[in-house]
Amino acid sequence: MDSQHQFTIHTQSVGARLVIMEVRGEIDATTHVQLQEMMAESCRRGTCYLLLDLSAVPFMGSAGLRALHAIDEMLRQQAATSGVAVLSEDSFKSPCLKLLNPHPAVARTLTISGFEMIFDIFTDRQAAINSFG
Amino acid sequence: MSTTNQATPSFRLPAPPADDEALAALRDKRFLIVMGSYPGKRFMYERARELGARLVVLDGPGHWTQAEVGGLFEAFIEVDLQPPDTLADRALRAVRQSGLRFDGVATFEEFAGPVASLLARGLGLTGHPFLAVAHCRDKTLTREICIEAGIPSPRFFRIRAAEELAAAAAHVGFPAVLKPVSGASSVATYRVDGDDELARRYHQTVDTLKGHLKAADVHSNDEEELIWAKGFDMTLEQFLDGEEFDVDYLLSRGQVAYAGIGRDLPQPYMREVGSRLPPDFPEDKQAELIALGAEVLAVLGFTEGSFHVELKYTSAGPRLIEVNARIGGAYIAKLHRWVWGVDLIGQYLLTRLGRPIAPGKAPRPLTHIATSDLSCPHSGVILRADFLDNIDSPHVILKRVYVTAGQRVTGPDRGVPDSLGEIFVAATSTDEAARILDGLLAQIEFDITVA
Repeated sequence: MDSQHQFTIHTQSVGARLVIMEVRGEIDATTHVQLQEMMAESCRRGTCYLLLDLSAVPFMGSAGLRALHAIDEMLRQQAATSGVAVLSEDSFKSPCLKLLNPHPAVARTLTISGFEMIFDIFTDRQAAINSFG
Repeated sequence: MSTTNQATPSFRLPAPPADDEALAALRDKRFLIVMGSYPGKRFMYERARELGARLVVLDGPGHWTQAEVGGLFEAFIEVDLQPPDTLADRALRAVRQSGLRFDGVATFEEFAGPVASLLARGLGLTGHPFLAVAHCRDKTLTREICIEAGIPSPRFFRIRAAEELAAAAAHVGFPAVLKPVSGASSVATYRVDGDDELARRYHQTVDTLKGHLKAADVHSNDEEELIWAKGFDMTLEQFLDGEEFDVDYLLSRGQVAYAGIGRDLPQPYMREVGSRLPPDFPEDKQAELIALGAEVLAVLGFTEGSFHVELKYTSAGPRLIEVNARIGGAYIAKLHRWVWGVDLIGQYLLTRLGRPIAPGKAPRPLTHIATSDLSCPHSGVILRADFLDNIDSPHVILKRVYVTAGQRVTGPDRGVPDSLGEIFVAATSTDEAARILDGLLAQIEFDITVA
């Protein structure tokens, strides 16, 4: 079975602007498109904040990292359009996109590539939700 | 053995060309140097100072540059490189607290790419795109993006645990190259020719390091901490046949402003042991190598700066080994200035000011250079470190000893041989330089006890 058949995204809204996405399967050169399209649709409906649950993502490579970067840009633009203040002078961490429980292999990729300097990574779901303020 | 320096006794290394007038723009400009790297890069800072640049280093406590404030460096901003997830934020705060204003953000250190990119953005200065440097720091990410772009690439497999060794071997086959996904300086890079050797090298590397790495007070000369503190992921790659080349690029406004190519000598231990610049290799094939490296840099998203790209010309054509988003290590910057009259250091710093560059590459080589590492012939204790004292020739343009008398040294009988020193020779052709170098190497005697 290819990665696309094993790839699912479950979405849950928390309030008007925050969405939690639970991804299952590898985020690769094929599946990242589905993730970005779903997020683009969510942004069109007003989402400015995303908590991405990566606990069931065993692999995320170049395409996945580029997708995270693109989704963060989308969210920031949506936040700006909606008049939501998201700019931080003091931190490179995204105020819009945060990650939850990445698989250890994915966590290492985030660390080595430097992505953990731009995305907060949480192990506690409620703490992650609360961090959006 | 006849003395080779009789070949052209009047040989003199051509004087370096006058500095590009554009380099005057560096005078009194203050650069934030993100991670000072290893002491061998000192000459890069000396060159920057010659050009009038003012240098402030950001690095971990105890880094060698800290002791040189007031001399080579104007100031030192201390930021522990661990933990990595907060490094960029802590670095930005420390830079702001320093009260210093910067004209550019630069780095000569392999591991500094992502944080330098973020700091440049945070300070409103020119920097590499974050995604581009992120892809360079992880060799499997570089491979993936190249494959997506249709660039012919070797088979590879990311090994995340010992349990994956068999799958990696089945996917890649042998011979293969095992190396850290986030390596530098060929550390823990091995050619492996079978399952047993793969397992031995993997466990030798990972098991030796576990529990022996510092968790704090890390600076950029702590190479093993930087390579391994982020985990023990390694990559197994198909071994590429053919000859290896290094291409150093300067990019400006998305175009190749300079490309200089050197041929590496065969590497029995996957570590660079010498080079030839310019290479004695067909011009059309050199052009293919340069084109491939430029294509990879474009795919990664780089448009400005200096890059060191390692490639092979295989039986199937040119192939990428890896991309370093920085000037080549060791004395590569000197080689390009001697041979092509291009100052990689000065030109790179100009790109960090956001300026377009147009380095004037000499129409033909100003000189031809052969270099050789002095690999330790066998393990033991080296009794004398004056083995290069009597190696004298007008062709020798650089010689360095890297050991001291009484030091224990490793030869091929115990592992990857230590480098005891190196020697650079210049002549009027690459062949002549290589011939003279070979003659000099034959005169060197190492006094090493048998282990």
